[in-house]
Amino acid sequence: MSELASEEAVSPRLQEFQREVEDLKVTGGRANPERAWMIVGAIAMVAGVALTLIGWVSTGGTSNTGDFADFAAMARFGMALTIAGSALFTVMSLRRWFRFWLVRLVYELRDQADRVTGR
Amino acid sequence: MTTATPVLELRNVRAGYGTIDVLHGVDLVIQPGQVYALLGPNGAGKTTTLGVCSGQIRPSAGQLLLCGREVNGAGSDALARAGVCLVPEGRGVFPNLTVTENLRMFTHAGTPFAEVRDQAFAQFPRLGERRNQLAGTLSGGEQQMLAMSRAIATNPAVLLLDELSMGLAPLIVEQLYERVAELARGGLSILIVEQFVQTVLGVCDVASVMLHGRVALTGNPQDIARDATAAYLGTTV
Repeated sequence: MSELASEEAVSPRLQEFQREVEDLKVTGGRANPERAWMIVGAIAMVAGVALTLIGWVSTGGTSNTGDFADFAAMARFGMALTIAGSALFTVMSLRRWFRFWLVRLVYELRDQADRVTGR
Repeated sequence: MTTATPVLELRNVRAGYGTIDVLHGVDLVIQPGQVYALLGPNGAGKTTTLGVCSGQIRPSAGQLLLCGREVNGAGSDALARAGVCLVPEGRGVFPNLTVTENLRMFTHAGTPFAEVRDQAFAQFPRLGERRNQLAGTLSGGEQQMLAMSRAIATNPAVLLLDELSMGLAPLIVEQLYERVAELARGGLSILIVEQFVQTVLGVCDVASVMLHGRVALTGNPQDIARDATAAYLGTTV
């Protein structure tokens, strides 16, 4: 509890408000959470491509079957990472774009409603 | 009446729409029972600031605090239930419902309909005369009166008013601000956003001028009245 409750001069309504605020379930969420996921997606894409290339080059330079299998697995993991990163990046980009599009749609509808009602 | 804990506070808040930032670090402190006027020209970020305060717009950085608690991420419905009431710019009513039906919608906070209706008609007798008229066909002033009825009926702890005077006759504006002054005398904390300086300085305790998404000037109404013109024109700050 903050020190507000201890203040004698605080009105009952304000005390009630403070209680309600204390009980609020707050996610701490920020605007555009997609941005962070877009960055994660981009990093995954780049890392995936790098792993795939390293795996591909390394498989060509080894005659040991065990090493070959390890490098091939690394390359496959890199490809999977690239695909997952690309998907994440695309989905989050679309979410950002649709959010902006929705805001614009709401404002246009409001504008249209104003014109209809003659405001 | 002031206490150590502000009822509403913004700390270095950045926010905007989609990818476009409108607020670039807004700081604002409202003490309990204080009437705070936020002034500034078109596009300064005043309405966006109210959007952040009411939970409609999430800050991309900074903090929104109510009674000292950070409430970033709380939904606008949760804040409204807690006692944050926003009267938006000329759009605080359902245009396709009648005045009476709109008043019925204002009972969400638990106030009985009869009480909401009686309070509204007592404060604004004009609404009583128009009780069966569609809200969308009311004049701008009458729509603002209806929106203000919500603020009166729901007994909020923090009232956010957006451009109350926009497009209204001076007499109606005076009448609306008289009601605001009455609410303030009852201990309500009020944040008023206005474009027209002289309209609001008579009822506020503290005023700020916003420019380009930042609070450029804060002071008592007399100081702001003196410096606002220069601030608007960008010759100070």
